[in-house]
Amino acid sequence: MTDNAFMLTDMELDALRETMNISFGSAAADLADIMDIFIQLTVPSISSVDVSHLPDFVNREITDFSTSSVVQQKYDGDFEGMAFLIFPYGNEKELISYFQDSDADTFKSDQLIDLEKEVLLEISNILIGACIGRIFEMLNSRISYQPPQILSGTDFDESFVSSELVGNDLAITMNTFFSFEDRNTKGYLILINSQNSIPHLKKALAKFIGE
Amino acid sequence: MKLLIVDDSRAARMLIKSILLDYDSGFELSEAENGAIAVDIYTQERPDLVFLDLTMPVMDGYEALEKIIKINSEAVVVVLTADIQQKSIERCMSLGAYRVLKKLPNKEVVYDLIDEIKQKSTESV
Repeated sequence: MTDNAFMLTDMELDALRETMNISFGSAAADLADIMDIFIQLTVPSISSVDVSHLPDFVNREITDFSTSSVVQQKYDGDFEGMAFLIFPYGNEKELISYFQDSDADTFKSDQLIDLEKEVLLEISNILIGACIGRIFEMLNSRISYQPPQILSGTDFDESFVSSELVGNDLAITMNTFFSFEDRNTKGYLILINSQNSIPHLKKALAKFIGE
Repeated sequence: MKLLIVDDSRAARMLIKSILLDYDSGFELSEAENGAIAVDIYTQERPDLVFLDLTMPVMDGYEALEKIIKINSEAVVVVLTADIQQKSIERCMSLGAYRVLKKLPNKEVVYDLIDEIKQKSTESV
């Protein structure tokens, strides 16, 4: 059940958006350095969503979500939640080209699928790890990560069923779209924090903005 | 000294404001939540120093920077941004930014920068 104790004020939402903005900017710069690309960033958005409505929420945000490639990484500690990095169908092939000089068609199909997975995991590792790490560092909080895993968009609903997030709970989502310059590659990063994390989040945000 | 802080985040503006007022409580501070408002305020108030975010709705920091430099080619605009990719920094500098600082900036870095700007302004008088 949600009540006012779990609602964030406008100022808290604004501060949280700012931590996401700073953290994703820093993570994007890390990735840009490694891959020699330029990543176009957008203003992040923050929402409060009932956990049971999260699949619909993400489906509204992402076109053709069911065919997207999704990397999920769970975290716990002061905050409990999960991060999803989502690339529309076909982008994983495009992403491989950032990591090699020769054409990806030289791989056999099963090798290519493995390579696509490795590339997705590597990009996710940099973007999710750097972004989450920086957010919680700014909020002076400690979390630990579980290893990332690849899902298909259709597995997304099940990931909530199997998680500790409860259907009636309120989740705080922090999401941002990004695109790689000169390539038709777009992605979406969403962090979902459980209702249990909200009291600690409120304290951490108050400290962050100096209240 | 008149300063303008431009950021869509109220929390970010508060943080920068508190850093600046710790340095000198006599600063005259104005705030804008996007580039379009910043350009209007710049036109009216001609602040000595502008702290400008890049990723903002309505008008982003690049466009605002370009417009402010068109109004006054000597404008001192410090870009304060989370987007610290080399290409972004180069673009800001080519548009006429005085410096690009990473969010959240270290107090000492901001204070050294203000000292430097004050010194330059004294020398040019």
